[in-house]
Amino acid sequence: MSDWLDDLLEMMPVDPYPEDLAERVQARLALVRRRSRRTRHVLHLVLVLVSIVGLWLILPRAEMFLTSAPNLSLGAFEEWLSALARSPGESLLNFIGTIATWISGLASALDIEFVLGLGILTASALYGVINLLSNGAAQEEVMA
Amino acid sequence: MNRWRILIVALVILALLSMVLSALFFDIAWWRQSLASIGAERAPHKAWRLALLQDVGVRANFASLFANLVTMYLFGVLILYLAPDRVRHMSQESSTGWQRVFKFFAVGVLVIVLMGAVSILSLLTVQTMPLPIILGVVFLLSALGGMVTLAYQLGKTMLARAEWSGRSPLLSLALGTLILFALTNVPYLGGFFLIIVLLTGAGMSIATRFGSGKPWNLLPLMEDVQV
Repeated sequence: MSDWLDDLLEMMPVDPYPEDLAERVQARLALVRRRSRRTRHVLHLVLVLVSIVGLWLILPRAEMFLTSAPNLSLGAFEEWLSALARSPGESLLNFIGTIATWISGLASALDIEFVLGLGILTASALYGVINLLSNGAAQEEVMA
Repeated sequence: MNRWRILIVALVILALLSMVLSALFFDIAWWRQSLASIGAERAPHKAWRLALLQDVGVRANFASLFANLVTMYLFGVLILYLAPDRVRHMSQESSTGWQRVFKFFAVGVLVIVLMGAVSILSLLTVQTMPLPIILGVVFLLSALGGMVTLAYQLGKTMLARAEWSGRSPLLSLALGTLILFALTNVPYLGGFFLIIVLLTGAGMSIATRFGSGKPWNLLPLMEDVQV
């Protein structure tokens, strides 16, 4: 009864392997590693450039985002706390209304460039986090 | 006497001195003063020592400092008792070198950028509107858990160097918490230091999968596909 090892043995060449086989395998591995490292460096560079473009798209519009935000000063918070102590239901409704107004104002003020910039930043940051968290670099060090 | 023991004693004294000076000469509890409207009640500085001690603002500073320090330590004790294995794993990860700690900081920075962008984008759709709150709570808990681990690891390393390593983990936490807390309360620079510590802590929690030690990859899903 033949098992898979017998099949593998049958598939192996009968000729003796060339003397420089080990060197060729090592050279091939080094080439593959070099290529993958170069590709990764290019990808990193592209992502850095894309992130800069994303920031360039967002920064001019950051003022709009900040001005549309509700008044978060300490005085306003104190006023809200005292209102909450006087009539909790009404102040909570007012709070939800303020948030809804802010979100709708923000949504109407957002333009495609801002959203695009945020999307680019999200993608770049996600790639960076995955790259840092995955053990690819460590594995590569071990292999090298 | 071991050189590290002298260093630890000196650091503890410096930390306490730094906190006292911050409480005496800077408005640490500025938010409290505003809320209680006690800023205008400052005593005239005729005899400045007595005046400082009688100053309502200074007393509020001391109260705030003490409350913050005790809260931070008790929160750390709670985390140590709740998840000792996770804290140990995270502290082992952070003890492998400064390069590792810097990597945690980079993860923290990237995650906060990612969360900020996702939070703003999620406000545009009704289904994802609660996401910023959920993400914020998760990030805050990660950052605080990581900060506790950093404090514990700092104290543990220093006590081990001083050959006091047989002491309780609570002592390591106390030493680390005291030093980190004093650094985060240095006037003007403390805020930056606090941000760095929180980002590093959050990065450490996330990178170690909240101390579980499981790797960040999709291998379990790929194994399912292969089956």
